[in-house]
Amino acid sequence: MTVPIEAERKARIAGAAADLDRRDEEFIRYQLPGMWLFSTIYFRAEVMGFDRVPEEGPVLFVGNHSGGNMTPDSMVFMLAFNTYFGVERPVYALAHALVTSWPVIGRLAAKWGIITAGPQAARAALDRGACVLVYPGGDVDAHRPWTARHEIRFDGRKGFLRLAKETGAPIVPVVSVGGHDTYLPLTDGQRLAKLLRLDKLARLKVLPISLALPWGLNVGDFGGHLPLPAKIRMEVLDPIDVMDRFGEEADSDAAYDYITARMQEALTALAAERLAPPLL
Amino acid sequence: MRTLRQQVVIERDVEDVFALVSDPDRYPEFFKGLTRWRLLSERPGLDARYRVLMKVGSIEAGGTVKVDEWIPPERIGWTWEKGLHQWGRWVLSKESGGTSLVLEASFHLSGGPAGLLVERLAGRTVARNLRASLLAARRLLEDEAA
Repeated sequence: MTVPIEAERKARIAGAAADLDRRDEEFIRYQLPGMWLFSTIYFRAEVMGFDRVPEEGPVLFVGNHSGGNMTPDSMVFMLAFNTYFGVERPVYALAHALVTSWPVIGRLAAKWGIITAGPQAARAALDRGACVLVYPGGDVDAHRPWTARHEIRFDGRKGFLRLAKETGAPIVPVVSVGGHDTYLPLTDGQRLAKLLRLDKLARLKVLPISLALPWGLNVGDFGGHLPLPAKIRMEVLDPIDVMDRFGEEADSDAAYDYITARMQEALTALAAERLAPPLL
Repeated sequence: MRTLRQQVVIERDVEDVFALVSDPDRYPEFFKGLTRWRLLSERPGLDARYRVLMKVGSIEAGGTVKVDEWIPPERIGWTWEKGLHQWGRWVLSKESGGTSLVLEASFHLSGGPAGLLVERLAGRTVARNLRASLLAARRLLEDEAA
C-alpha cells in the first residue's frame, strides 16, 4: 500500500492524486479483448520492437502521441504492453490533469494505471519497479497541426531526462504514426490559449481547432471526437541509458537533442512506409 | 474457453518425433506464428518454465508457461503462470506406419461478449497456425529421414 501522491498545483485544475494501488490487473485483463478488436480491426495496428524492451525492472517509455484527446496510439501501446508482458507487469501512463479529473473517465483511467503527470508520481512508480509511459510533449504534441503529424514535438521539456537520471531507469523511445489521420487538426491555437490564460486554468498550452466527427468544426476537443479508422504503426526502439551515455549531463540539452533526434529518425522512417492516402 | 486440436501422422518413429517437439530450440523451424518459446529454467523437462509469445492480429500475446506433464516419448503438457490464460500439450502415439502427433491448445479470455468474440476470431488464426505447424513438422521429419 502506498499513499496517493497529490498532483502539483500549477493550475486551478490540478488532476487527481496518483494512487498507484488503484491499478487493477483483473479490470485490465477484462478490457483487453475489446481493445484488441479496436486495435486489430478498426485501426489495423502494427506494433514492432517490444523484444527490445528489458524483460524485468523499471523502464521509462518515452513516446510521441497523436490524435488529439483520443490518442489511439496510447490505447495501442497499453494493449500491446499488457499482452506482451502480461498484466502482472505493471505499467503506468502519465496523463494530463484534465484526463484524471473527469469523474468516470478518471476512475477508469486509474484502473488502467493512468495517473496525473508529475515527477513525484513517476518516480514512485519507477522506484517500485514498474514501467512508466510518458509523453513529454503533452498537449502540444497531441494537438499539433496535421501538417506537423510526422514531427516529434516535445516543446523543450526535459523532465523525463531528470527522471531517468534520478532513478537510473533506461529510456525506451516509442514512436507511432497514423493517430493524426483519425481527424484533421488545423491549428494548435497556442496564441489563443495564451490569450485566454488556459495555462493558469488547466495547464493547457493549446486550444486546438480541428475538423472531426461528429462535430464538424471542433474547438478544444474537450468532448473528444469519433476517430477515423486510420492505420496505426508503432515501433519500440532500443533502450538508451542516458547516465551511461551522458553521465552527469544526462538531463542536458545534448541528451534531449540526442533522444529527440533518434525518435525523429525512426518516426520519419515509419512515415515513409505509409501509402499516400492518409487512412492507409 | 477455446480449445483447438490438430493431428497429423508422420512416417517416423515416435522417439524421433518426440525429439523434435521436446526441443524448443527447433520450434522456429516449424512452429508457425510463434515469435518466442524461450527456456527460462536451467533445463527442459518437468517444471521447466518458458517465455511464450504468438503473433495474433495487431499484437503479440503470451506469457510464461510451466511444463506440468513430461512423459517421454508420449506426452508434454504445459499451463500458464503469467499473462494469457493458456494450456497445451503434445500427444504422441504409435500408428501403423509411423506416429500420430496431436497438438492441443486452449486459451481463455475474460472480457464478456468481446472476449468470446475475440476467442473465436483469434482462435481461427491460432488454429491455422497449429495446422501449418504440424504439416511443417511432418515435412521436416520426413525430409530428414529421406
